[in-house]
Amino acid sequence: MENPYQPINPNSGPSSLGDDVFQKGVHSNGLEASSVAQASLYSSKGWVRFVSVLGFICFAIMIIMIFAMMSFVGAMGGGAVILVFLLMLALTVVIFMLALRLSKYASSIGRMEVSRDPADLENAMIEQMKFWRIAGIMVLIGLVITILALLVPSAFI
Amino acid sequence: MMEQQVNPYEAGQAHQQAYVDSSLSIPVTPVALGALMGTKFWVSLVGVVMLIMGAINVLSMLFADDSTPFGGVLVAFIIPFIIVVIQVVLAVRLVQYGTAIGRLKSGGTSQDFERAMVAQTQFWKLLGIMCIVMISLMIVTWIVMIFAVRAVF
Repeated sequence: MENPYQPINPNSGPSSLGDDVFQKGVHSNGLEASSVAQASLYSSKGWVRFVSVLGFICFAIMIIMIFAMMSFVGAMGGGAVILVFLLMLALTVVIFMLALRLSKYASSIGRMEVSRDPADLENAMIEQMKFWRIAGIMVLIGLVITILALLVPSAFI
Repeated sequence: MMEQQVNPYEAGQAHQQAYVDSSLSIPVTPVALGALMGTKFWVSLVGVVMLIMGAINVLSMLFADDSTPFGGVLVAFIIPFIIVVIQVVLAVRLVQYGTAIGRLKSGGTSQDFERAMVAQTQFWKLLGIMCIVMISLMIVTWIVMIFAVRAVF
């Protein structure tokens, strides 16, 4: 019986871990991350970490703003303020998730740099895919809101 | 037995040897490759949407009211223009990354993987530099606004 939790041996070829998780039928065909590809990945680590730290700072600022708004909502009340509060809360959660994904991506690259384990490359690629998926969904929502903001007022004029 | 003659000074070969050192290479597993290919759609989407947003920003700048108050030119035109340029450059980098992954999808050589990694590194580096520039611009804007308010009152 195969142990699914066994560590991946770099020399044993493609891993069987979660083969069917991402795109069935993908074969690496002896694909290798050359020294240039690795060097590029390692050099991106610092910048990814920097952007993730900025994301966490942004998250902290948003939290402070939410607390300030909570006291404002308590004093004033009103549906519009609550709506803005909920939107800010959702945005704060998304910012945190994006920053967390980037942080995990940078950590995976860092681990790969030390261990040179294909499993860490796998983790790095998965983390960056998750980051881009969240970013893509947010960008789509932003685009829809922008188009609505452009079209809806003109319909009333 | 014929001995194969190899010219060690041949330009192409020397280049290839410098780039591909199999002892330093790490195998790209199907899971890693699948995750990277799963990134293509989202990266291309973000890139294209950023380009569209850039175009909308340019249009809004063109049709903006030009009767700006004192110090308003910096806030109303110069800073938004810099932001649009940043946005477009980042979007182009993302589209390049998406294209590199697309080539990997169709061809699938180690050099395509290399190109994809180089493209994504360029994007992150540029984004990091742009973040520093944006923070600096924000600080400059605050200083200008403080001086403008002091000049008025």
